[in-house]
Amino acid sequence: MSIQTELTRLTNAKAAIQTAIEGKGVTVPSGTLLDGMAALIESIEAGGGNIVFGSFVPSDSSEIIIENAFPYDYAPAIFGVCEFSPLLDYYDTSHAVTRLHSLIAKGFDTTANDKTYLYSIISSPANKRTPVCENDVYRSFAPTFRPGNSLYNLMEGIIDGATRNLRFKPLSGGGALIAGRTYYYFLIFRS
Amino acid sequence: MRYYAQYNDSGKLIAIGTGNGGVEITEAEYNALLAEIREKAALVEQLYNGEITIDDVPTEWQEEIQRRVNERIAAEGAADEQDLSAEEALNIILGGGNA
Repeated sequence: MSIQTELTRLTNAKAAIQTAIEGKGVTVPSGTLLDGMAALIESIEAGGGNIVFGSFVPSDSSEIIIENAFPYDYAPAIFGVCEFSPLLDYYDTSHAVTRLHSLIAKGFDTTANDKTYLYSIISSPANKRTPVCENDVYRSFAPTFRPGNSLYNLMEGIIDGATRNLRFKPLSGGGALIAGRTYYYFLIFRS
Repeated sequence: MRYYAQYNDSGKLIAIGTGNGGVEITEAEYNALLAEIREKAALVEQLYNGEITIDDVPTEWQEEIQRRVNERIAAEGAADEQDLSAEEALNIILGGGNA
């Protein structure tokens, strides 16, 4: 092979690498040489999909704010919360995932009205699943302490796209989150 | 897995968890905090149910546990009647104490 052929090959490869990097959302500054591409590739954010899982355990029965809970600056399309009950020893994160798959398999529409739908997956034998209307404040049934030993009460799940905070609080007069209980949540974001 | 501790503006621990959020902590720290959170929750339940007295609660936790029990009682809108000893009851009847 001639030197020119090799130079052409390397030039084309560099252009292809640049295109690939920019396709991942990273800008390649003008004049970047081949040996500068590795650092740009390193800066590409790992693809984790647009589903975010998490959990929280209240230390007290008060309002919970989880700061920087999600990596996007817009609200998710679907927001679900469920509980693991050590007494039941059956419902856990895998259950939440199973229910999530079920929701998706049923053709859950995440684009309707450009709103966020809050679903609550409650760890009860009846497997209640309560969709709520779209709103800035997303309400759902979730396990909270309530006088009279009724386990479920309305809880607000408030999503703040600007701060990326999640806030969970019971509605006034509705009881409190249960300290020591593990609550699992998931967020599904539109692409 | 990422573990975190979430504090409020006053520096009080309000939650621990996994995933995004809060201040990152180690798994060992998470488990230690989890054990403490659940132990306190159990003490609140026991004190609320009258199974223990405040003296049974570790000193450094007494204020918090009592506060949480009081909040729970307030949330229910009623407080349990306090048990009186016979001596206290007699004292009240005779006008020497507070009901």
